[in-house]
Amino acid sequence: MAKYLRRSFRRKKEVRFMGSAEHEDGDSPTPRYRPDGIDALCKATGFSRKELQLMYRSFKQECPTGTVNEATFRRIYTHFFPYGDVSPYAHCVFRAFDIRHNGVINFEDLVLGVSSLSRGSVPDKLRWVFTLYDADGDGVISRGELRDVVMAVHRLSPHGNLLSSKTIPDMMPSPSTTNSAAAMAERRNHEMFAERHADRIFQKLDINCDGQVTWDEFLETCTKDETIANTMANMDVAL
Amino acid sequence: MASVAAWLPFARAAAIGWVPIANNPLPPPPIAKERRRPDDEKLIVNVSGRRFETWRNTLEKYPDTLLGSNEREFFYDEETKEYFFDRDPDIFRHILNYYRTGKLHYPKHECLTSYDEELAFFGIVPDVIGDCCYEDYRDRKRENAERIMDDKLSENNEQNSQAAQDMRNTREKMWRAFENPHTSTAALVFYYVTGFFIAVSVMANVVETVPCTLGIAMPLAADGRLLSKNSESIPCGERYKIIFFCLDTACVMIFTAEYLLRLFAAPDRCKFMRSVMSIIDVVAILPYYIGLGISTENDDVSGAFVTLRVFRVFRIFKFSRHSQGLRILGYTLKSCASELGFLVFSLAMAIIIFATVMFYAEKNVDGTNFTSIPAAFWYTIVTMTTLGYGDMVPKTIAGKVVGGVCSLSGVLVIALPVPVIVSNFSRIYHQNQRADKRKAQKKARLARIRLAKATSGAAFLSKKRAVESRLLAQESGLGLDGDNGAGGGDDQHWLREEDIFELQHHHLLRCLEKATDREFIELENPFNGQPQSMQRSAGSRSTSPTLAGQGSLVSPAGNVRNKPQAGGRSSASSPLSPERLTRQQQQQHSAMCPCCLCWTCLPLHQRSSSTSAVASAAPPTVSQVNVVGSSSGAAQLSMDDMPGAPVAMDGPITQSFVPASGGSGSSSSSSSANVTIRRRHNETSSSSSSSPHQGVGQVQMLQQSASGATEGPLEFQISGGGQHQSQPVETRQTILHISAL
Repeated sequence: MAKYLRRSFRRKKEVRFMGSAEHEDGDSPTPRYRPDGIDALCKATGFSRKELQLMYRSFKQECPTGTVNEATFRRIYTHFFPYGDVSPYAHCVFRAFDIRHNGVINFEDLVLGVSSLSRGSVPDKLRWVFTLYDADGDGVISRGELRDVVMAVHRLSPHGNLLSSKTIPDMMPSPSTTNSAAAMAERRNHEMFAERHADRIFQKLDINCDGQVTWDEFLETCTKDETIANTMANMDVAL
Repeated sequence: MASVAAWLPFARAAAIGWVPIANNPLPPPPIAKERRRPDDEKLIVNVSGRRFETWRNTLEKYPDTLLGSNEREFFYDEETKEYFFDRDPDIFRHILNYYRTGKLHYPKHECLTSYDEELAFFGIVPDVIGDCCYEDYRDRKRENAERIMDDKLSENNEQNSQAAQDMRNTREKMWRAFENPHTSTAALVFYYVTGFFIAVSVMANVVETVPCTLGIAMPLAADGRLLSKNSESIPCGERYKIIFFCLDTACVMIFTAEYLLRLFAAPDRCKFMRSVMSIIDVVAILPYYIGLGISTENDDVSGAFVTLRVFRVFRIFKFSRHSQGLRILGYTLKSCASELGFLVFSLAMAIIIFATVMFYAEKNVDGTNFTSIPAAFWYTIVTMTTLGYGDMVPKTIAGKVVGGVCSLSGVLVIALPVPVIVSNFSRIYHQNQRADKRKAQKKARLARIRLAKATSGAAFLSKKRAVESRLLAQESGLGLDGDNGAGGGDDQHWLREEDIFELQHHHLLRCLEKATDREFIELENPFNGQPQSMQRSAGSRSTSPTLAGQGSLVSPAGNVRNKPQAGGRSSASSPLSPERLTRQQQQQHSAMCPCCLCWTCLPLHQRSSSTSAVASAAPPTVSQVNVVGSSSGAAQLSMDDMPGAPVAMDGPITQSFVPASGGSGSSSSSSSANVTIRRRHNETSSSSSSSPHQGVGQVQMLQQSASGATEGPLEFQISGGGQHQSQPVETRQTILHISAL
């Protein structure tokens, strides 16, 4: 009872559970989420009403319950990168969007994320990227974390099949995972290439060579680097 | 799925994460044109009055369908600014949902064919039906296909048999007679005779084991009691050995003859010999011959001989040719083989288990019946099937408990597979019933369909006539200034909508006539028993069509009759008459004409031009038509199921026609499915006495199904009488009999 009262005082309605009928069925209740009004979102994100409408419509089409879970996210990514193994990267991105770290992304999270990425300032964007790289959320990027991200991005490409040895069930099975020696050698090559890439980047980012990249180092490196700064500025996601 | 395209912005936003780690600078994003997003608009789709609205985006998700491509522009209605489709709105709902959700569902209450048609119209492949509905869809599709195939096969069979009837040699005729006893009387007789003999043989087998005591004196004591029982009660078989032997011989003779005949007539002997029925036949007659061969003196052999007699009971299986129910039962058992196998297997398991336990429980009882485990099998079987003879009963408590459990489990084990077998049987049986019913109803249905078509055709014709008369009146009455119509108001609008259509139709047919240099009218040629040619060079036309006001081109519903045999002859421009036809042409005709039943062909084959050709020689399956010629020479048509047989005699007349594919499905082999009869009057109408009626006859016989059913429309023959003035009108009476062979 008290919980209900507390809930009703909260401005934002969080996950609302279905009626008891569903509980009796034994199914896990599907949380349904309703975002706040469109005006609030407009103000918060800086998208126009029309844009928000469009985004929400397609969002709702995909996820009628109002929330995205990682499996759906992965599935969506497979459509965009059909040739590679999207799961590690999708996991990273999902984690980056999932601000509350509860395994589901609702519409507001998404929209806020996209708005900061497309309309925000360069430091904002970099902040987002930093969270993307920082898997455990400890505020620093370790060499391992960076390598994971780089590998994940590499796996998105068609060569990604060669890298991944495990396949997620709902992913496309990689056609080229054979056990022949040539395939193994090729795989090894790609892995080494990716690793070297990661190391190079890490070296660039880690200014004081202490084995980890802090936020400030990251910010500094990226703003100093011309290409990065320019690209960041240019990538405006036009809807 | 294109709705995923809406997520692209998110993915691209996330791509910013690649920027710091990119080896090379990333390309700049494409400049988004400053367009006013035309995608974001709603379209209205009007399907037979029901309006559906959807986003343009939704429809364009699937660009290879009608709605998603610019094919839909063909259906765009400028005035109402919507897309109009004259299709089923209920099914369209599902199709639109496909666009919206990406999943195509199949509504179970809709007819499969109509659904398929809608899908085909909108350009959607049925393979995208979602998993939830796909099974159902496939199942129904298969059922439909099977049913249609069955129908078609049986139709084809019938047709083939019809069409090539004359061509068959004895052998094939016999085979058909055997397979389908209704084809001819002889076959029917044969069928019943064999059935009778099977029954006699089986009864003889049964009766010959009955103990006969007739004829032996029964010694009676004074008080009427039997003094001694007749110790000589021997089975009848022994007593009347000769009689039974003769009976048996006779039956076996018949069976052997039947078997040999079937073997001779079979199209594929090896296959026939391997078939179940023939094996049964062999098994039924073999014991007799083997018994003849073996002499009965030797005891051992006589034992075998007796065993052989057991096989005689298999004769009863010969009845399955006569009874469809038996065949269905056999087929069911065959198709439920796995369930039966399961039943037997589980029973065997249970029997062994319980017998073992029973044996060990009852082992130590004195004088027990359960002497061994196999001995206990009998008890178990009897108990599980709840028979309970009581010849073996457990005496110990453990034994009784086990016995109880045994009987309970027996009930369960047996009850489980039985419903499966029953439902299989029921399904197959009903399918068969339905198939038979469909066949039986088909003919009636076809007749009704033809009737309906004919009436619509007749309506068409009457309209045509009305138009013509209007045209005629217009031309003759009003002259060029049609404005001041003498008739009145409605004369103003001479050319109503339908008139224009009629006019154009007429014109088209006229063009065809001119183009092919054939006339669709028969003119002055007297009908003297020879078929009139449908084709004639244009020169000899005496009347011009239509505007002459006399009759008109009749080609009902566009079925213009051209002799099908025309293909065989190269552009016969001369009328077809027997004497003109060379032998070669005649042969060609016979070869090509699938029916050879038509009146036109008759003279060809008979080489007679007798007018009183009664088509007794006509091959069977011709429906009966009475054509009675009246004295005035007007041949009156009365035909059975020739619906709307117009009979107007005096005026320009009649056409009755049978639209082409009236159905009897015969369509297939070209065998002339159409008929058009036409009759033409000469201009010099009237003069009934010497009315120059030309008759036309054409006939087409549609092969009817061989089963002597008379439905079939088709066939008729007519011939008008009428020669030229001087000669007496020949009334022709032609009665074609249907002989149900």
